[in-house]
Amino acid sequence: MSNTKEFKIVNHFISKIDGLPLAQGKSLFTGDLTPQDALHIKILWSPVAHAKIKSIDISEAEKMPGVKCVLYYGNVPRIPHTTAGQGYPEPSPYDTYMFDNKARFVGDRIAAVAAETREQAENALKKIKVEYEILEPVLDIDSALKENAPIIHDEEDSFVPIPVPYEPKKNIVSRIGMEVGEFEKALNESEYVFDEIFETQYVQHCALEGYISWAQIDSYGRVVITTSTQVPFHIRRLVARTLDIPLKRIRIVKPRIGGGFGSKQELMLEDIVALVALRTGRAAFCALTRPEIFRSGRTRHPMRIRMRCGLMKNGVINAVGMDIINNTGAYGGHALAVMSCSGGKTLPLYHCNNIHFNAVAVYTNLPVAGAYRGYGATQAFFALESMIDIMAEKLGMCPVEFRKRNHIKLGEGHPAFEALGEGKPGAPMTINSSSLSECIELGAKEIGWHNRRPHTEKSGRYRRGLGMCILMQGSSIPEIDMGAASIKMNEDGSFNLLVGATDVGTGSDTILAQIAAEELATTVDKFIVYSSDTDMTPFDVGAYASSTTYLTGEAVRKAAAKVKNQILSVGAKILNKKLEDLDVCDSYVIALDGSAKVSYSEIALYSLYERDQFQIAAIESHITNQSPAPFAAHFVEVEVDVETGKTRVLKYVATVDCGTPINPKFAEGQTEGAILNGISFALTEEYRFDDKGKVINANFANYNIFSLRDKPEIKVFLVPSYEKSGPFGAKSIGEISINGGLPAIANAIYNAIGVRLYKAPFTQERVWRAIQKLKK
Amino acid sequence: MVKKKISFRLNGELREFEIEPNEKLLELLRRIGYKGVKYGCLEGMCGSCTVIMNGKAIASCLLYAFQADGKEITTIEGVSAGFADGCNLPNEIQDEFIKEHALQCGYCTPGFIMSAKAMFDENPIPDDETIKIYTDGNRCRCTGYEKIWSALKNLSEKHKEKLRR
Amino acid sequence: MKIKDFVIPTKISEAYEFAHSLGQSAYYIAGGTSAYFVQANAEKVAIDISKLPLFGITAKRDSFRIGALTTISDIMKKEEDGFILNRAAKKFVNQQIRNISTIGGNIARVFYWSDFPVVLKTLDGKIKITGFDSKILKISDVFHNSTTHKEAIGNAIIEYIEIPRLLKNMGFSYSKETRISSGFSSATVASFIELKDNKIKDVRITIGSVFIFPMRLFELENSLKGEPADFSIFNKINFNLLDKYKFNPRDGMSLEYCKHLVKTRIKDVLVESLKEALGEK
Ligand SMILES: Cc1cc2nc3c(=O)[nH]c(=O)nc-3n(C[C@H](O)[C@H](O)[C@H](O)COP(=O)(O)OP(=O)(O)OC[C@H]3O[C@@H](n4cnc5c(N)ncnc54)[C@H](O)[C@@H]3O)c2cc1C
Repeated sequence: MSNTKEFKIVNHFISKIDGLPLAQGKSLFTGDLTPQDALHIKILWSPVAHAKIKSIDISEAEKMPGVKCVLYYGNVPRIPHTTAGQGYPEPSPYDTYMFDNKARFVGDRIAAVAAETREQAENALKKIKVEYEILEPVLDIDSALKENAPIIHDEEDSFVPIPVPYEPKKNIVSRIGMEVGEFEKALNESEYVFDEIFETQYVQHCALEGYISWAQIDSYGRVVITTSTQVPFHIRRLVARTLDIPLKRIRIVKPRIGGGFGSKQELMLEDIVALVALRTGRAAFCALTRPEIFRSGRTRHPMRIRMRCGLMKNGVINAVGMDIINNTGAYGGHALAVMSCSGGKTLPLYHCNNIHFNAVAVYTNLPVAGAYRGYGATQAFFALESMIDIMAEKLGMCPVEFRKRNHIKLGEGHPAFEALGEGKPGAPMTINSSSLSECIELGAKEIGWHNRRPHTEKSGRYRRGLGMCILMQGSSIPEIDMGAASIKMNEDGSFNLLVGATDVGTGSDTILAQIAAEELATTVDKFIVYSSDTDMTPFDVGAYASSTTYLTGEAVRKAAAKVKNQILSVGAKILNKKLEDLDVCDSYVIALDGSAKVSYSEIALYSLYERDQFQIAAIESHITNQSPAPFAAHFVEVEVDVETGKTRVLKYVATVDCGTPINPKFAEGQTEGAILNGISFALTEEYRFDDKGKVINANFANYNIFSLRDKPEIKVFLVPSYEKSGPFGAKSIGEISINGGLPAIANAIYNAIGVRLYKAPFTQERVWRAIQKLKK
Repeated sequence: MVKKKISFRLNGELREFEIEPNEKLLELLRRIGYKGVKYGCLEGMCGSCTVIMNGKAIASCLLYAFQADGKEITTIEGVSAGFADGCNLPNEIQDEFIKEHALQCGYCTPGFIMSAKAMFDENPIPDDETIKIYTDGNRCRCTGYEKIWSALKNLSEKHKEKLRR
Repeated sequence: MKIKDFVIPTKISEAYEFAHSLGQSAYYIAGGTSAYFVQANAEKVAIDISKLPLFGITAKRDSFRIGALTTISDIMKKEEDGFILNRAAKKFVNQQIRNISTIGGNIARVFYWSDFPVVLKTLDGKIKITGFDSKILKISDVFHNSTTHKEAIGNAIIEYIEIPRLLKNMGFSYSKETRISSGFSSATVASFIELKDNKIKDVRITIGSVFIFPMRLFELENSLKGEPADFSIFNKINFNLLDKYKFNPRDGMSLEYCKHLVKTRIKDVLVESLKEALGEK
């Protein structure tokens, strides 16, 4: 808290600038803006997990009433690409084809029909005749890695556009690893050695607005795609590649987005709507139903993580090893970067001189994994933070004390930062801001940690336990991500703020206006914010990697600073004063001696109409060579019914260091949302499959996300530090808090009943089984 | 397919609609321009499509349009505290949601507000349990419900205060 | 399900005649929420029965009469001594569905996870069904199994059900296993206990969801009848009596756990029922 400066706009709550129209249900989302006469597109999905398509006959479908266009592998460009919306060149294999002659999971694209009505499209789909040659499906990571396993990507032309290992003939998508010190030796020499395996499940983001896109050919013959995406600029590039049309011909418009959480960092429907529009000249739209979203949309990479640790009796962590097998499903987008974050965003949290990290991603004939808030760190923190508790217990030390002793502190670096990048080496980094120690103190106090008793002292049917974990993440991808912003002044002293950044509900439009207003010494209501339209706004990589506030925020601040200088120079002319005698304050340029002032609107009018006219405006971009870590400590109280294994979360406390919270309520909101998602990830959410690889609970009635009625008490405390490299001291907050649910709850269950869970989610049966095992 | 006529009162105005028998109320409402009624899951489990029918929050994705015949339907477009300067003014629930930051992406918000409105219309001072029960059909993935929870509790408190005075 | 046409009758006889003449393609719509579960390509003519005069809950001295079109939320809101259906209603999916779903619709078509068939079978009482003529039947007879249920209701219209008022010496408890408050049940258990002279005079236990159709556990009930009103008797329950039933585990549960869970919940609801009957609640 020590470092937080006095700000007028930043570090204050300002309500969402788009809050009112959203609360009034105005037509702001992709599906609200679709033209009435747009063609309806329905997609034929593979009913089988693994098959060669022997033949497709679309002739009958084409003759069906209302049908305007049928797409399948026989009539679309065959261009390998990735659907992952990442920086170029992507660290993901180009292993996807718009439509292919092979089906690689239940829910893979087979064909698409565009017709005048949805019903006509649906009817036509039924007339497409597909003959499958069924291949043996690969339904788990062990089968994928077996010798002579069926090859999922046997096509010859897939490749990775950067020099990293890619071995599709072995079902291996990528490998990444690092060694620091002498891990094996240190492990052997440690006084205590631990070796445990943790597993996480298939889950989905469940943004309330599903995948939806529509496209139209404008009067100039360009393709305008309105789409629910987190990455408009990447989508433009990916569509251009996939359809082999000039990028210049494509415009991506991102309206309001109904949540993303990573699911929309992906090319999902944009190529199809664009091609239908190009083939028919008609507007065309496609929206997936909830079951389609579950089966064919992106998911979180399920991982198996082996943790090996060596510990000394004095509490020094001597060796930390993490071996990951990452299930990327049928296509390999994001797999490498996600694994990199599994190591890079977790291992630096603790001092240790001997580190081993090795991760391999494998193809399976299961749903496609992609980006999901937390991005690999979530899975790895389950393993790491469970292990930390296991080690603390061995020492007979309180888990809080053990962490306090070993966690990374201000001014310290860590070899893992440098060793793990996303497709290229990472950036060396020291921690220049951290209030993690205060976070731990405060959280412990708020949950009542001093009342914590060991499980051995507990009895009765319903037993309560306390658990905790500490966390970190990053803020943008160093030396890869770039965000840009432009600001232009209008004659009433208002400003257009144009950013490529993508507000997917996070509130970034508001926060970026706050940053600009702070720098320009004016108020947020002076800003007209327009974000992410590839024709109108500067570039931005998009909403991912916890980057918008930290990265685009700094671009905005820099642009605002430039505009401020222009305002000052015009002010100097009007007031006939020297620049150094002036400053900006409350939308005025003022003389520092108080003798004169001129308002922003007078300045704008002058600059536009009176003398030496010019447009007060600036554009700035920002990249970073580091990814400052936000930190958090999460504490949870659970109650376990030892008869049934049913576990309830009673209370959840999170303390978070995001540097300066640009908008504290927004920062709390990000944290609360992430926490609840983390809790249901730990307790209820999971894909269930039949023995043929089909998801059987592909709807909200059977895939259980919490409602308000299920929500435990959640308390969030922001414990600011000041990150000098970020705008007004800010770091990120978007992802970090989704990482806490699994380890904190696992640790709390252990404290309640003395049973450790290694496999998520902690369903009542799993907990019960663990109790039975313990009894034996 | 046969088209049939039904009529119901929509946001206060009695209107006649031509519908297909198989059409859901959600589809009808969006077709005629009520885009505040959101499409979420089509199985009554997410609440994005919530409208009020005869005073009760219902899932318009489950209801056939003909079931609304003769009823009174209120959508988010019919919720306001008046009109000024070309715009609808927010009613107290909308206002509180904005002030409490109870909305992030805003996709679930109209549905949540309709559930809350039905609740407060019936019971201006709901207790905690009532709030939970009356909103258990609305899903939000952004907020973790914490600020929605406090917005609804604030409103209940405010109503209580008002009554006391 | 695809609705190709609809009619909106206002009289019971009219509605029934429609159904009779349409045969297979007829589909009564009360709240209509079951349509979601009906085969997608089945073409039906909807008979919207929501305007029939079958609403409301009427309290009688020893019982409550509930019109078939009463919604689950109206049942949930009904607070009166001895009225216990509201306990199950509170656990019924979610508010938006409670507000349209009717009790008639819930019991006319029984899904394995349906809530009220389990409750009603436990409470017993009467049900009035009207086709060309009317009959008042015992709930336990109608809901004996899926065949008796189908035969009794057929194409006819349920007018109301009548369930006993819970008196001072009685207790009822209901347990629904879900991952979240609005989830489908993976195991539903309800029990009713009536005491006389500090002994268990009558006890009824019904299990739903793990069976295709809710099942009364007569043998288990019999083993408890006449036992003293003491919680310790539940420790002696002979659960082997359940072994002959074919359990269908739901929600990814194993058979072993499913059985264990049902047994645990049986004890739980019995304990709660006894507590209530003893006035300890
Ligand atoms: C997402 C979702 C979740 C659900 N969760 C649950 C749950 O947790 N528990 C549960 O029990 N149910 C659940 N249901 C099922 C459904 O909502 C209930 O069965 C509901 O009570 C049905 O009532 P209704 O009025 O909508 O019936 P309708 O759909 O109108 O009718 C149901 C059936 O009964 C017949 N019928 C209706 N009324 C009568 C009458 N008076 N006489 C004769 N026949 C009649 C109809 O012909 C039809 O076959 C759920 C439904 C959905 C969509």
